[in-house]
Amino acid sequence: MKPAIAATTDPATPPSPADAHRFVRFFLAVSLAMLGAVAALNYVVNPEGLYPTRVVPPILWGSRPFKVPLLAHAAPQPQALILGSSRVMALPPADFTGATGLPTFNFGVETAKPEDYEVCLRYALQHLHLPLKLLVIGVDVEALHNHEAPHPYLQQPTELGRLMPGQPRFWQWRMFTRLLSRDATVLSLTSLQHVWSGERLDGLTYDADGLAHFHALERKRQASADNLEMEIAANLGRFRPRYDLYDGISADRMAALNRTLTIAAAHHIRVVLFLTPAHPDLVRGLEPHGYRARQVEVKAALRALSQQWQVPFLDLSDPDSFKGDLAGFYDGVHYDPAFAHALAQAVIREGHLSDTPRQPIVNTNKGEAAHALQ
Amino acid sequence: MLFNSFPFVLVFLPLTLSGWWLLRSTPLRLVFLTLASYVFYAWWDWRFVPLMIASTTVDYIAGDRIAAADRRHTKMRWLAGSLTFNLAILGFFKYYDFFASSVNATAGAMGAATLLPILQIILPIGISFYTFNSMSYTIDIYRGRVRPAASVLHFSAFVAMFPHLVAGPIVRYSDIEHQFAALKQRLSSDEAAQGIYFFVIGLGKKLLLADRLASPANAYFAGSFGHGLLPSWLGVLGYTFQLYFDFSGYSDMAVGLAHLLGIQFPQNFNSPYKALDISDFWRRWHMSLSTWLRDYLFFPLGGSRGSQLETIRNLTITMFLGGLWHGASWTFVVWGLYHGALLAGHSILRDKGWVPRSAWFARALTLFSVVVGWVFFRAATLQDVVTILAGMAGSHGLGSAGVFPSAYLGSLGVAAGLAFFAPNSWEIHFAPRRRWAVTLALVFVGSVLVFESGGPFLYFQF
Repeated sequence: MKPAIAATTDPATPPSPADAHRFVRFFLAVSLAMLGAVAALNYVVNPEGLYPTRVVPPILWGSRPFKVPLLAHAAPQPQALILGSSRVMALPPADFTGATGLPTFNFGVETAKPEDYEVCLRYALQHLHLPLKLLVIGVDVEALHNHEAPHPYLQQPTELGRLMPGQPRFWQWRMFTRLLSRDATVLSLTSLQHVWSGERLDGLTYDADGLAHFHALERKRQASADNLEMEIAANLGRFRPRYDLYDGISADRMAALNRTLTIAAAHHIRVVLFLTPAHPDLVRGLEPHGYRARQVEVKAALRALSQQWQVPFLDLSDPDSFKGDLAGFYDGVHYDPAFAHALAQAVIREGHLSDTPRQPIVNTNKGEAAHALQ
Repeated sequence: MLFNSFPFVLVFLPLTLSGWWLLRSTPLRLVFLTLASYVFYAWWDWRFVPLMIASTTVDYIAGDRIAAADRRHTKMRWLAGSLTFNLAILGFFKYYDFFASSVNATAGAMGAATLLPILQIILPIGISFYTFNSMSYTIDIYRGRVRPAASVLHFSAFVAMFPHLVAGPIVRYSDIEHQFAALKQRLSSDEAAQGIYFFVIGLGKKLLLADRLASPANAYFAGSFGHGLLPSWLGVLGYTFQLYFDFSGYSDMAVGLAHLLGIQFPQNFNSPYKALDISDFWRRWHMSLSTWLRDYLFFPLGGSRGSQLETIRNLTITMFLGGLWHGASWTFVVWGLYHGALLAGHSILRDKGWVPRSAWFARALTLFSVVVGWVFFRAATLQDVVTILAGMAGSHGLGSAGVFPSAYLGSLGVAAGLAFFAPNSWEIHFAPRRRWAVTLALVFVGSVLVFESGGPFLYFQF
């Protein structure tokens, strides 16, 4: 067998046991120092919102790490939640509060899918013990995508991620090891880079009731007359590959949606489902990539759920259906406050949310509600 | 448990090394190492620990009886019992479903009903390695080349020893016997330095090279990039280097971990892609398996002592079984036969003196033959093999290299440069100096940071 220590870089001074001893100590010291530095960096910068530190502006965070503490500290305690993706984040909670008398919180989070609806609801009920009476769920056509992974935030042991069905145990260990990951380190360094470059951090802000303000999109709209066309083109570039892969409704996501309604039924929470609107130009651009076929399937699935659970389902996918001004779109899917108000009013009106008394939802398939939170 | 995982590096390894070096009595240390190795194994699936214990017990008793027996046929009977037991568990867990589905397919083709049930048996990880370790023990005692283990503790520690347990190298008892007989009482700095060196180099090979090649190569073999000439060659070459750096990385880690226990393992890879001919390749690739097959299969069959025809027969049988050892699939069988044919062809040409004179040409020809072989090894079905080989021959057009990420092409270039031109981990002149400490610490930290995205070792499945 060949010896591993075959020679030295300096044949005149062969390594002594003391050299080897120093090597081991130096290797361990340098390794531990580097790992410690990486862990400290990721803890302090906290780019994914996993830890309590808030030292560096969280430029890379999504909406989830913001909205979770906002909901926890909302006063008065919300009794109504708006769930959905960034396409519902501009829906004004005040409109719903005004119509229903229920303090409302907008818990819309970007790229939300049914697993998000489920964990958001679980978080509100199980962790915050909110006395919820109403859920307004805005579903996107791609929310039931059968080849898109859950949002990374849900795959981490975050407040919401821990509530995902099938999450592994030992999440504290995962929180620790995540400090030593390349992905977290890259995010931390990018965060710091943005801070040092002085990039504006107010692209998107949230009010205490979860309402989002799309400052960056608004600034872009004001800067260019043909901004909408350009933004739709950019979104088409992003959405086409998603629709190319989207070849059917995800059974897992339908199950998550079903579980969400089960939980709501078990807590006597009224639910309104609606399909979110999109700009017709964007829809046309996605038609060759299967948009219409998926939209038909999603509508059918939501209608079936609506019948099963006796909850209203509102098809608001066409802005004309609620007289939404197409000029209110920033980019084909996100919209300004006026458009948001029109949409909110349509949900309130067609969902009969201002009617009293309010009835909890029921399941026409017996026996599911009893297992809602198991 | 994977070597490239946080539980192993942050918990298991420090605890095991502490226990091993703090304990002073040899029996206690061997018990501790065996139990720690069972925990290491049970981390994957505890249900298969009893199987390993059963294999250990049977072979220990058989070895003892073989050594104690006076009469040759008694020795032979115990040896046959040991081999039958090991081959039976290997055959059942690894090959039963393959055998049953092949029988059913044949019956189906003849219009008959399904004959054998498919049991969907879970393959116990590392079974191919530890059964070969154990079989070499009883065979070597039978041949009088090794004495029976001093105690069942020695033997169980040898079989279960976590550094080589799940993916080799295939260690023989003769490699370990004298080291267990005189266990070191303290870890010397030299040994620790060597252990760190090998472990970190192996970690880097696996996580910083092999895993960078894995996703695009997998995507190619899944058919995502088409089968044009360029994607086919780039995909197959990616797998060629992925496999080498993955498996040789694992072997280096095993060698390093053994050093940290004060034990030396044999070399398992010696720059196989620098081989001058196919026979040379097998002296350099997975050396512990090649020598195992040579000593326990090829030589007993007659080796190359008989006629050329007999040599060809022996090579073909050996490589056929070597292929089957890798997995229960026709692709592995054909891969083994392909290498048997290459070795036989090389033997004939060498006898006639028809060998390339240019070393570069010889290397290129050998590498080409090996790369073609990896298509059989990696493809899911023989139909896929035909499609991929046709793609490599250009029958599906040129295709585009642009389907691969540029980072993949960069990793491929680095991997090729290292495999063809750099000294391997056993040839590098490692000196325990600060410069090395910083370099290895950087590789170690870089590897730890990608633990989350690292996959299992390719040879775990065998």
